[in-house]
Amino acid sequence: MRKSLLYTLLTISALVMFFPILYAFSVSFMTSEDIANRQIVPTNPTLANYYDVLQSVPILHYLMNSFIVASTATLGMLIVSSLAAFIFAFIPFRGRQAVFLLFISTLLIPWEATMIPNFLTIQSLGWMNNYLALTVPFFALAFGTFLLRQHFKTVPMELYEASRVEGLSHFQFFYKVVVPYAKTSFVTLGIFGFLTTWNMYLWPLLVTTNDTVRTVQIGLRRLQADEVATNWGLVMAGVILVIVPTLILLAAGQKQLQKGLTKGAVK
Amino acid sequence: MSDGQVTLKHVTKSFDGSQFAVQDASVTIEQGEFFVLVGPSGCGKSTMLRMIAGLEELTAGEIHMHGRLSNDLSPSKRELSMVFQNYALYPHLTVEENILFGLKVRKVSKQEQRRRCDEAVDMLGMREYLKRKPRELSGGQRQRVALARAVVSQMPICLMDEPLSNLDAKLRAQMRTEIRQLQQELGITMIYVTHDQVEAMTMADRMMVLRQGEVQQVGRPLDLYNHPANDFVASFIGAPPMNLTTATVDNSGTLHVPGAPRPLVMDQPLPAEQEVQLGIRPEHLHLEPQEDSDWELPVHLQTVEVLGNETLLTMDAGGADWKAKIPGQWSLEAKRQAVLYLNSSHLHLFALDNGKNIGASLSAPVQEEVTL
Amino acid sequence: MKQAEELPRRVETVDEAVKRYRIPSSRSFWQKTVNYRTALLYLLPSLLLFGVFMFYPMFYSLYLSFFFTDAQGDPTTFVGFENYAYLWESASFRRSVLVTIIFVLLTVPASVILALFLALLANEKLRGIGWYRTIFASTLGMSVAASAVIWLFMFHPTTGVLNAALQALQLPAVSWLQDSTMALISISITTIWMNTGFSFLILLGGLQNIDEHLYESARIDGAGYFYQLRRITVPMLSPTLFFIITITFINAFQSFGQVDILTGGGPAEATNLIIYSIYREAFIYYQFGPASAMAIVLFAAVLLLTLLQFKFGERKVHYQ
Repeated sequence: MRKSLLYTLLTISALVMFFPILYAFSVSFMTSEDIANRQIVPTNPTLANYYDVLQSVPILHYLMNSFIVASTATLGMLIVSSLAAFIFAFIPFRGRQAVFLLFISTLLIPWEATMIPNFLTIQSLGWMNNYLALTVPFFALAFGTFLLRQHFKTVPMELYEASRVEGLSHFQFFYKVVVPYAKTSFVTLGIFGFLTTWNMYLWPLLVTTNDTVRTVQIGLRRLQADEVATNWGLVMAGVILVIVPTLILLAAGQKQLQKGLTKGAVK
Repeated sequence: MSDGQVTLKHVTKSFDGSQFAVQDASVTIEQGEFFVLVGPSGCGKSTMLRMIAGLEELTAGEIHMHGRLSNDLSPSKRELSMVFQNYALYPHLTVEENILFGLKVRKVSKQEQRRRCDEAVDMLGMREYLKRKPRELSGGQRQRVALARAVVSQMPICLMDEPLSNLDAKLRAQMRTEIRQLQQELGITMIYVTHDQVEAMTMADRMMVLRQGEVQQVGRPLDLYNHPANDFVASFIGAPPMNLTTATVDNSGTLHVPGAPRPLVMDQPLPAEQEVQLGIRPEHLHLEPQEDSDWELPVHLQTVEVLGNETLLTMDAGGADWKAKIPGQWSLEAKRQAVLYLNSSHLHLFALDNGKNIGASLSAPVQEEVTL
Repeated sequence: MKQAEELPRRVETVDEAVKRYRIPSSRSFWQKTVNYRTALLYLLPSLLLFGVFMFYPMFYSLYLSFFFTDAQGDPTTFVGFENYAYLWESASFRRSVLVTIIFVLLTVPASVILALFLALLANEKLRGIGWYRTIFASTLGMSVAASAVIWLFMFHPTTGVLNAALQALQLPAVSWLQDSTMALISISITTIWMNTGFSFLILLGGLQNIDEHLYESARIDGAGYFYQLRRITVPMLSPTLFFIITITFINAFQSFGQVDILTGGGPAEATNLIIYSIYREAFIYYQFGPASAMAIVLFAAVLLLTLLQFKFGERKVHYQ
């Protein structure tokens, strides 16, 4: 009784939540007649939309840009954040608490308050339409540092001491012990970082003015603006191409994310 | 030749600048000695070990290792190995990789690594789980891996911080013997921290008893047992602990014990008109007069527990709670009067104010062969 | 007979011990500062990037807000508080503030409650629950652009599926994005849907961290589902809830993409959130001075509200 009630609620919620995605998927295979007739399921499934979208905008190029940007930003974020987190977890020095607070205070500075000067900075560095503009500003991340520090702190102090007795340098301890010990937290932060940078919208809109490094999100906006009046099926095919990589990544790493992020969020 | 020797001179540690974690400790630990630091938790024994390891800085004093002043030497340069309470095994490495980890860092040749690993593995009998990860091992097996790590390092000094406290009682007894044998085979200096006086008594060549950062006594286990320097050492060493009660010295130097029918005449002059603590070990109390019994004390028996071939009595002796350990199986009724017999040379006297032993000359001499 | 070792007189205080027995350290200045040097080296990348892309722009925004600028963004004339005065008098900006407040009120509570509801459902131990969890978390993988484009199509007045559904139910069609009241609601629906994935995942993690024994003992005491929810789940989950509320709140102020794609701030500025008007002011009209002033006002408001939230929220939060 209780069980069937739960399943009913779960299934209704799942249908409602997932409907937009399913619907987009369905529309991407529809002919324009189906779309005009407001079909839910394509009567005559076709791949024409996918073919057309690849012709009309350089979507593969955008996808590749997004991959490069998201991977580089994630990697840089992992390296920069973990170096800082290592200090906050293991290397005591006078004033460390103050520096840590300085890091945390950046959480209170929202993107919109820094957006204009950052845009001007990127311009004066000559980084417009350059991967650097899309990646480097995201390398330092207070949230990431904090999350990794929380995980690093679970490394037993005895391991640190044992490594000192055995003669490891700080850096050796870092990459031979801490990194393997906390590798799940790197996976968590990595997935999170990839999802957020892949999905960035406003910043790439500002710093890209042509197609060279433009990411797929901006590509999607262009596609929508160009094609909306004529062909929704084509636009949806573009949408599906854009969301598939992140949805796969999310499905694979969902458990990991849930565990890892909760730890960083609360403890 | 002072390889493996450790000398502490007035070693002092304070974390907050006002309270002592370790107070002015001085001792020389000889090459090849099994030296145990023992005391209740928070007594400073681990802090002392960590200072020797170089994991903690000294507030004052000197540490000499291998004959050289070593205060500022980093842990890895002190030529020592260390076994931690939770073993400090790297969870992402296999047993074998754990054992060889330190050697790789020190860039020991592959061949030599192999040889030392084989040797340690045979010594500790752990060949069958070399390829496993630490989380797949039992507590005793992890313990062995930690020992093997110390063995392969071939350092002249090994430090151990409560290495047996996470094992069950049976395994602990077995590992005690193994660690002792290992130390003798390798001929290394062992500095071993424990809160368990049984471990200290059974393993140590010499031991140091600590309490609140203060060194209470240093010496061979039986010396400490027979000649405790103060009431703390007396009650800390031995199980059940030494019985203590307050007695009064009258103006003629005779000792009056509450509840006792006749006073004790000491063959040693005691300061008159004061209170002292009188101590006797549970195993020196008897229910029947012995050949050498020269004093007796009426008590009220509270409980009687027969433990195999030995009987443990708890009793009220003139207001103090005492215990007696008597060989044999005694089926006695509890909650009744009884008389205990003893030889007054087994009595210990301690000053009431600072607990210092004031009756050392009363005690029987140590039989040398026992200690061999 | 062997005598226990003779011990010398001990020092009585730490100061005395230091005076009598401390020996000068032989470590050089270089060795003593090893931790500082390591820390500096490891923290340098973060500090540098924070400096360039966080702290400097923060102050430069403030600086710019007191100037008129040219189209390159270089400050030309110092104008004091004129930019702020301009904002104060601008009906458009006041409209933006109002729209933003309504938007936050529409999205934050609804997002959190929806995510909590889903997390409670998905926390049950049932066969196949993993699939439901993945579906509920899926919007975390949805970019704002993709989400907005999908909803744009669903909101479409003639070909959109929402109006098709209404028609099937014999209800009148709704101008989702063309009506100035409906447009903000439509954007809110899209935002709530997008937020759910992340909030759901965090809340589910929080729920799974609650000790099973608490529920078992409550069940033995005969507590019903809603009693357990009120007395165990919500108090134990309160740190996580607090975190999620704060994050959702801050995110709401930064909602840009959905406005840009769905309405472009219209109709008649009905969905012109502050962040969107900053964007327009700065990057369409090149008015960097007033735009910076807006950014500063927004920053101050968010900061103030967040601090207030911490001050009053923290008290009600139950930490383990």
